[in-house]
Amino acid sequence: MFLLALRDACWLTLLAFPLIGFDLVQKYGETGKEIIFEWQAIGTIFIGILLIRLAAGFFKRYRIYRCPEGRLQEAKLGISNIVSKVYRLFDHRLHQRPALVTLFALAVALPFLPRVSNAALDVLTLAFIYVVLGLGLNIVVGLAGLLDLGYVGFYAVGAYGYGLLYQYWGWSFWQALPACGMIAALFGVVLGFPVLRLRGDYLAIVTLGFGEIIRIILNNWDSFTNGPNGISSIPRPTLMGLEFSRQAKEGATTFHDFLNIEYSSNHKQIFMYLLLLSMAVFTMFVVERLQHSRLGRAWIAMREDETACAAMGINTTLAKLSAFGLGACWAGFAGGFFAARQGFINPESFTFIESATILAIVVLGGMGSTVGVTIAALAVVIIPELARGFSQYRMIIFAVALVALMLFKPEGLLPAKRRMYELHPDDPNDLNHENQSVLEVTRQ
Amino acid sequence: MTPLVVLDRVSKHFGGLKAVERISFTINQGLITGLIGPNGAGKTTLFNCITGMYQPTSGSITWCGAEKSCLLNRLKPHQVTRLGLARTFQNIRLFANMTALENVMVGRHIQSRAGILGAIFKPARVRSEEQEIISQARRILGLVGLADRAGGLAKNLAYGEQRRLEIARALATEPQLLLLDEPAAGLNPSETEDLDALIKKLQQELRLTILLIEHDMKLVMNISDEIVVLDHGELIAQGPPAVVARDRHVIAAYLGEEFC
Ligand SMILES: Nc1ncnc2c1ncn2[C@@H]1O[C@H](COP(=O)(O)OP(=O)(O)OP(=O)(O)O)[C@@H](O)[C@H]1O
Ligand SMILES: [Mg+2]
Repeated sequence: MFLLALRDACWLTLLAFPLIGFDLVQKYGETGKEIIFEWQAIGTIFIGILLIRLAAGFFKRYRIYRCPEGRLQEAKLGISNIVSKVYRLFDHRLHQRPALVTLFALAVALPFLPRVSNAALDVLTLAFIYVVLGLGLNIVVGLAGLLDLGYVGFYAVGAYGYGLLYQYWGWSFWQALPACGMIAALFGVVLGFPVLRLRGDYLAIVTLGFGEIIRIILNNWDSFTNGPNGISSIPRPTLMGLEFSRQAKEGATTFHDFLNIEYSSNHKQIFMYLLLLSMAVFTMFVVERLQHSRLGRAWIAMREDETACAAMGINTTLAKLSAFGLGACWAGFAGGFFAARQGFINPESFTFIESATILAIVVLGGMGSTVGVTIAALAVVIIPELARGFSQYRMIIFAVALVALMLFKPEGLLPAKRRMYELHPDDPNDLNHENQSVLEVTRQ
Repeated sequence: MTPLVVLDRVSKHFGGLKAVERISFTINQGLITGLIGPNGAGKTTLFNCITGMYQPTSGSITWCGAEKSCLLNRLKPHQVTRLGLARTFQNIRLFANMTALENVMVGRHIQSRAGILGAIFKPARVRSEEQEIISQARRILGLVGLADRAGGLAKNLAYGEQRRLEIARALATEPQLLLLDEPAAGLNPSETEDLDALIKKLQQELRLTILLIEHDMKLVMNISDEIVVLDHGELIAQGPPAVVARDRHVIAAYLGEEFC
C-alpha cells in the first residue's frame, strides 16, 4: 500500500511541477527571465499527496461494499464498524443532497467573504457559463452520443439573439433570455434534420461545418449583424427592474438608489456571479432529471446501440432531434448570459476553438456525468487563469495536463455511474415476480 | 387456427444476391414456429424484413394483430415494435453501459408517456409512471431469472445472462409476437435446457406467439409446433417437426443422415 501511495505521489508531483514548481522572475535591469524553483511547494505537495493517498488506501481497505441492488451493506471486516458507518454517511445517495446544498451555500456566500476580488468573481462567472455550455453539450455528446463539433454555433445564436433583439427592438435581458433559448433550440432542430442519418466522424465534420457557417454569416452580413464590428453596449441584466449602473437610464431606478447605499461596482459583479451560479445549478438540476427520465434512457440507449434502440419502439429521429434541440437550447441561454456579461459581442468569440474547449470539458469530466462535467468546466476555465503568471507557457501547461488526464483517466474525472434503483422490501410486487406474469397484469 | 403474420411471396435481394426468394408462410397465433436452415440461408434477413429493418424487395407481410391489421412492408422498426412485435438479435445488441434493469426499463418506453416537461418537473403522474416502469422491469427480470443481476452493467453479465436479458428487454415492450434469433447460440447444454423451459413458459403463460431461429436441432424439434426450413433463400419444407425431420430435401440440405 505504501508503495502504491509513493507511486501516485510521484506521478502527481510530476504533473503539478510545471504548474507550481517554478516561477519566472524578471530581474531588475536584466533582459530575459530567470527561473526560480519552488522546492518548498513541491515538497509540501509530495508529502500531502502521500498522506492523502495513504489515508484513502486505509479507507478502501475497510470499505463497505455494495450489494448488486445498490444498497450498502455492512462490511464484515471486524474492527471497521465505525469507519464503515462514516463511509456510509458520505456514500449514500440520501446524504449527497445535504453535501450539495452545503456546497451551494458556500458558493453563494463566496462573494461576501473578505479578500475575494472582483477579478476572481469574474473568472468564476465565466466558469459558470462554461458549466452551462458543458452540460448542454453533454446532452448531445454524452447522453445521446452524437458527436457535435459545431456547438459554438448555437452559443453564437444565443448571444446574437439577445444582441440583435436589443439593438433592433430594445428588448431587455429578461425578455430576450427565453427567446435566446428558443431560437437556439429551433436552430438545433433545423440543423438536426440533415444529419439524422450521419454518425460518428461524418456527423462531426458536418456539424463542424454548421458551426463555421453560422460564424461566417454573422461576420459577413454587415447590414444586419454589423459584421466583424459586432454589437456593443448591450445592457446588463437588471434585478427586478433595478439597474446596476451609477446613473439610471430615464425612468429606471438603480440598485444603490433603491437600497439607499453607496454605489459600488462590486454589486454588479456579485449580481452577475449569483445569477450565473443559479443558472449553472438550474442546468445541473434539469440535466440530471433528464438523464434519469424516460427520454434520457432513450438517449443513452441510442448512444449504446441505435438499431436495438429502434427495435425497442423508440423513434430515433425524435430522440435525436430532441437531443439536438435541448442541447442547443442551453447553448442559447449561455449565449444570452455571455452577451450580457461582456456587453459586447462579435463573431471572433465564436470560433471553432470554443467548440473544442466545450467538447474537452465533456470528455474530461466523463461523458454523461453531470458532476464530472461541472468540475471539468470549472477546472478548464480556472486553471489557465491561475497559470497566467506563465503567460505564453500556460496553454502548453494546460495541454500537458489534458493529455496526462486522458492517459491516466481515459473515462474522465468522474465517469458516469448508472443509478441503482433500490428495491423496496415493502412492495409486494417485487417479491412474487416468479409466478405472476407482467403481460397479464398490465393487459387487463 | 388464427394467423398472426402472413408472408406472401416475400423477396429480399442484395444486388444480385437473392437472400430471400419468394417465401410464403403463415405464423399462427399462440404457436412456436421454428425457422431453420443452413448458414446464409436467409433466416436473419427474413427477420429483418418482418421487423422493419429491411424493406422487402417484393411481396407482402401482413400483420393481423388483435387491435389492427396492416402491411408491415413500409413501416420503420419502431412502428413495427409498437404494433406488438419484439425481437432479439443474433449477435447480442444490449445497451452495454446500462444496468440490466435499465435495459429492460428502456423496453418499457412504448408503454409509458412522460415527455420533456414531465421529466423536468416530475409531477405525481410521472413519478408513479417511473415506479411502474421500475417494478415491471424487475418483474420481467425475475421472469427470465435475472432478478439478482438487476444492478449489474449489461456488458459485465455472463454470456448466457446477456442472451436472457435480450429476451427480457423484448418482453418489456409487451409484444404479441416474439422473434428470437438464435437464442441458444453459445449456451451450454444446461443453459439451453433452461432456455427451452423459458420459451415454453412464455408461450403457455403469456400466450405469446414465437418465431424462433435456431441451429440447436434438439431444442427446435422439442419446442416447435411448426417448422419452416429455408435454403439458399428459398422455402424448402414446412410442417410439424416430425414431418419436417423426415423430409428428403431437408435432410439433404441441412439435417444430415443422423436425423433419419
Ligand atoms: N445487408 C446485407 N447486404 C448484403 N448481403 C447481405 C446482407 N445481409 C445479409 N446478406 C447476405 O444474405 C445471405 C443470407 O444471410 P442471413 O444473415 O440472412 O443468413 P442466416 O440464415 O441468418 O445465416 P446464419 O445461420 O449464419 O445466421 C448471406 O449470403 C448474407 O451474406
Ligand atoms: Mg442469422
